Amino acid sequence: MGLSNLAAPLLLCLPFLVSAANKPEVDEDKFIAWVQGRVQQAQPTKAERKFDQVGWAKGIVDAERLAKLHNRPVFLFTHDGRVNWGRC
Amino acid sequence: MLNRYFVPVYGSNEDVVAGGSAPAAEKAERQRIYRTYLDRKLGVGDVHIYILTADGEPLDGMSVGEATVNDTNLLNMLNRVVKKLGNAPGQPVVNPGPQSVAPAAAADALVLHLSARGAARGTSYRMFPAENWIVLDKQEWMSLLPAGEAKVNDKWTVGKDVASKMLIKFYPQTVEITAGVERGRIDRQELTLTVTSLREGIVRARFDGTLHMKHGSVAQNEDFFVDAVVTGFLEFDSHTRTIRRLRLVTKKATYRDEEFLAALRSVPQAAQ
Repeated sequence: MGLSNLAAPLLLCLPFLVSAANKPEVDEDKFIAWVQGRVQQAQPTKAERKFDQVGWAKGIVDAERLAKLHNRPVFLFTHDGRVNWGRC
Repeated sequence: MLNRYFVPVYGSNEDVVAGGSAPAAEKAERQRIYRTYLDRKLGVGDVHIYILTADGEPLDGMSVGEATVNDTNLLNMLNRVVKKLGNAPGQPVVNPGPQSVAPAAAADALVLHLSARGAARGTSYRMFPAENWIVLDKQEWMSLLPAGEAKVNDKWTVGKDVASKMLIKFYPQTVEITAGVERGRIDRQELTLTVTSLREGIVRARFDGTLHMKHGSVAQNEDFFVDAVVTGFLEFDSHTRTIRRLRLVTKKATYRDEEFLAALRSVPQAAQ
């Protein structure tokens, strides 16, 4: 049996060995992408961030000061919890 | 419309009650407005919209129920006020900006942002996901790292206190009153890390865990529970022993009988 005959089964195995060696990395990359996808899915979308498009005053005292300065009415929204965190 | 014609402001009731975090002048003014509307029988509520003159005198008002029952009630009221006053539109008097911002933290702290959304939509507090900010000080985040040099397949358990701090806000949007009070009670939790790769000094470890937590929606004694399977990854530099990225997400999670998704991610302090 020549060397090539001996090597043949190893050569046949080589793709498997390479595949096995790479598999954890491939699986890990897929896993990372999946996790990142879940993170992205949980984030508020731009449409859900409309609250940030309003120029909110720091408090009612500050709002009344600005209202006098700019001759505007005050829009006061009172709530429980933390509306800016969606925990309300 | 709010930006062009009004000075918009929002405020939590818990900040202006006795013992709340708001300055005394803020508490007094909120109380005065509430009493004025109440005395004049103009309608009041915990979750309410008050339209005021610059001197804090009532112009109009609306309950949140009436404001959110359709797309026109609130807009009609704002238009009515604008028409009545006849003031000209202008630029926002305060520059708009992100309203959910990280709390102040030490430069070496690990700042985490949590976002959670339930499967059910519809009610006003379900129109956008809930968020929380969690800060791990250096001692806390260092405890996430292995004691010695990491090798692939090394596995360790995250300490109870740090794991609890990371998991306690894993619940969807609920009705929140006294948001500063922790209403979660973790009955069972497990959070492990397993090294999956080492590349050029960067160690990547996988989170695996479970959570069983009681969480009261409004009253603290409600028997509502979170059951979750979580996973994610932690990347750290083995030489400097600093965390590059942390991600922890629900693989499967329910609160009461509703499925929800929660995701915790590290936020570079410069990017906040």
